[in-house]
Amino acid sequence: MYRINKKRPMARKSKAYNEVTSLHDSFEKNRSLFKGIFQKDDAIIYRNLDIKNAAGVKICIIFAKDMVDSLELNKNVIEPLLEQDKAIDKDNMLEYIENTVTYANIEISSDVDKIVGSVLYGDTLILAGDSSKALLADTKGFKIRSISEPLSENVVRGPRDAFTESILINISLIRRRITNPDLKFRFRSLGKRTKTKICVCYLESLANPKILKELNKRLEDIDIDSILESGYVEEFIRDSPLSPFSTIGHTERPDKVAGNILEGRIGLIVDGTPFVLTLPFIFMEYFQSGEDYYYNFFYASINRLLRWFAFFLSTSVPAIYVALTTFHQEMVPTPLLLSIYASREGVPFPTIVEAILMLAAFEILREGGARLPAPIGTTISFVGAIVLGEAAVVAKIVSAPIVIIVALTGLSNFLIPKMIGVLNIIRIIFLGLAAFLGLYGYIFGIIGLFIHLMSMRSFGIPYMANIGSLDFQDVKDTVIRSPWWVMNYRPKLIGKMNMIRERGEKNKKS
Amino acid sequence: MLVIVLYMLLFTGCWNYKEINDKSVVAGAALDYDKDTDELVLTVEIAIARTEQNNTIILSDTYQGRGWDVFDASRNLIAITGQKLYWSHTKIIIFSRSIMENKNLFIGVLDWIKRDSETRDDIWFFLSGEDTAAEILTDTRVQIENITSYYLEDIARNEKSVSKYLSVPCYEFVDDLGSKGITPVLPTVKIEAEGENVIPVVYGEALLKGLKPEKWLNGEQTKILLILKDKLRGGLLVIKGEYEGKETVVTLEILKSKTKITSKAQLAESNEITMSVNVKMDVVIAGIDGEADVITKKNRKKLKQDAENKVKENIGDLMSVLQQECGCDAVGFGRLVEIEHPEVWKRIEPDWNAVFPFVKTDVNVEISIKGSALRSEPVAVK
Repeated sequence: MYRINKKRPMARKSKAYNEVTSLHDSFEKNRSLFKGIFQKDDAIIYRNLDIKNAAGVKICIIFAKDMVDSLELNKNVIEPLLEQDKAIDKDNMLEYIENTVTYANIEISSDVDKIVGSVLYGDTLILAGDSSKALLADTKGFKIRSISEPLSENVVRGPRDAFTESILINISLIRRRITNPDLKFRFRSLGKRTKTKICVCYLESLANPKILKELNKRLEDIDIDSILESGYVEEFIRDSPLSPFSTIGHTERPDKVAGNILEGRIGLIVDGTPFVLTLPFIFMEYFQSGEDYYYNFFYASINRLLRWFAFFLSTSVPAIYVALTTFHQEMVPTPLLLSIYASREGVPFPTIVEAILMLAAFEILREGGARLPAPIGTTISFVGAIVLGEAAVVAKIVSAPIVIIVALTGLSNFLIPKMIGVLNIIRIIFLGLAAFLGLYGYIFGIIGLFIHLMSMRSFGIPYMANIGSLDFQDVKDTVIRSPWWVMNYRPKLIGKMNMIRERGEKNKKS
Repeated sequence: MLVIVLYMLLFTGCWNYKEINDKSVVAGAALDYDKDTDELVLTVEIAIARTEQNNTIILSDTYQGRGWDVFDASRNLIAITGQKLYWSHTKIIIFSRSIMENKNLFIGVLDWIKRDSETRDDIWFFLSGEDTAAEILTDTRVQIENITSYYLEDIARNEKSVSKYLSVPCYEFVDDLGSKGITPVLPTVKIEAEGENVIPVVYGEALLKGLKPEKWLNGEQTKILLILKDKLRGGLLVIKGEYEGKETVVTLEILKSKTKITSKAQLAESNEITMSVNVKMDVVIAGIDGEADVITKKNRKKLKQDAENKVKENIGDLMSVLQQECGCDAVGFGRLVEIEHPEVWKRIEPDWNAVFPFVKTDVNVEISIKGSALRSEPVAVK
């Protein structure tokens, strides 16, 4: 038992600027401190100002020219400072500047780390005289994508705005929907190098403090140098990290996040991505679409049932087909058996090989279609599907029923788009089991799946919460979507801080 | 976990991956006994499906194999068909008289059908009215459905609207065979040429005594047997009568029929058993051949009377056939006695065959005419 310990890369201490944690009380020292930190970054501008009536007092403004709105900067910082004509008290320099600069959001800080982060994020630093404090003016003015329609979660009825890559705009989209001081936004930054801003938002009176505490603890524990998308965070903080099922939801629809927050869930916005995380996330939510709540409840309920049915179809149809045709031919009605018999005549491969071939072909088409630009993407995939399916059947490479099966499976996939990845995995496992052991193996697969699902939790909430419940109150928003006027309570466990959603008075009496 | 999975894979005996096309689907079978060689002759009709120019064509082919019993014969057939026979979609089995007379062989066949995991328990049984059973499958050409066996299956299923034969599935036949208080029956099938088609025709019922076909009932008699067995679900009653001085034939369609037989047994001393048969029937007037208006209150009453008498008379006739001519308890009187008077049954069971011909029947028929379909009067000729 000899094991050669491979040399692992060691964390090397980066040349840190934060050896100095707070500002000096000398202007020159401070200026050279920042020059040192930002060296070789030509986009950082150092602008020295000489102010009338205050000879000897030096002012330097430091900003990143690509991040600030220079028009605003000129008008509201440089102009007022240069054109003032009052006498200045050298000692109260900062206070003076604070009153001169016409920016709403001004901060005084001496924390070098924070100042550096802010400057790089578009704030302007104003160093004045030999002070150990500096001013930060919020001059952010970088270009961002405007709010557009959600690409992955379109609706026929419902709001059409989607999150963007800017955290501030995303926050505004949520705040607009819940104008309540109870709605909290807690910022923190993650990623040692990227310093990505993330924001935890929740309703103070609804969110379960235990979940909140756990979330903060998990966020605290993240130790990574970069966060570019919310997926990074999701993988770090989720439960059951090895499960294909996600235990944290993601959406680009602000109305969905607002709805979740109002049920007692917590939203997690990461700067730089339009996908906002929501947690806890339970299995049910795969089948809920934002639109369900805006449509007539009968229609919405039927759609949900369809999605459940699609889940069954998508995972099981190929497996059941293979099991029936290769193990349990006695279970197929005779005319159907003969028709399958006829179409399999002359096909060289066993059914299981056919099934795997066609499923693989379908996945290739789907993956190809998803990455191509929209106009050609759909055409190519559909033409491909038809040509491939039709030609393969005519050429007797696969039988006709398997094409129907694969098409049905593929269609069912699209009813629960967030689950496509999971469905593929389950389908292949079920198919393998069915090919080995027939329906017997398939049932084992189902048992395994249920054991797995039942054993999962998301931030302490059972993953399958409410699905097996016999209490009408619990199933009101599960497989069906009951009308708003009977959904008096929030979902159990998640909204347990304040269960009553509507008719609080009436419920109390009864 | 791994151990569990391995156990599941290796020790559960579920290794039976087999493509549909690797098997020959047996649609129906016919069994004969060849006296000369002392062999069982198994004729199978195999369904063949093909796609031709995008149309699925279903055909059938018959093959014959021989062996010392049915299992042997079916294995010998593999050499002819090239593929293993697949019996799960077998719908009918036709027996010939010759095989039924060879008791051990026939019991072996029934045992195989019940024992084999592929053959179904609800296979329909037929008795061939021809010399051999094989010719029913080989010599017929059915137009409606290409496969003779499936055609016969359809006939067996639609028994209730014809009521001139009683379809017998395997489980019922074997049950009846094993019970002293009832004799099994089998529908008979014959070949009839009809224009260009040669089709199998199911008509009438054979009464079995032991295993031998003892007596053949025609269609009308079978219908009465169905009434007695409380299995009549439809069919027609034809009543001839004189109404208002005019000879008229009225066809009544049976909507519902309920027969309740109870055994009145003053059996304490004598072995005299009286079965009281109560028949209740709902009918509608389905056709009137003649001009008389049978729907008037008076005539209706007469019609009812006539119909009741006719049914009663027919039951009497059938009972005499059953009791005197062949002594076959096809209705299952014995079973009824067993259920209602087990202590009596215990005593008479050994001699049931001797007792049966002397069982008395007390028949009550009640027919109610529920309507007259779409017309309220006959077609008038003036």
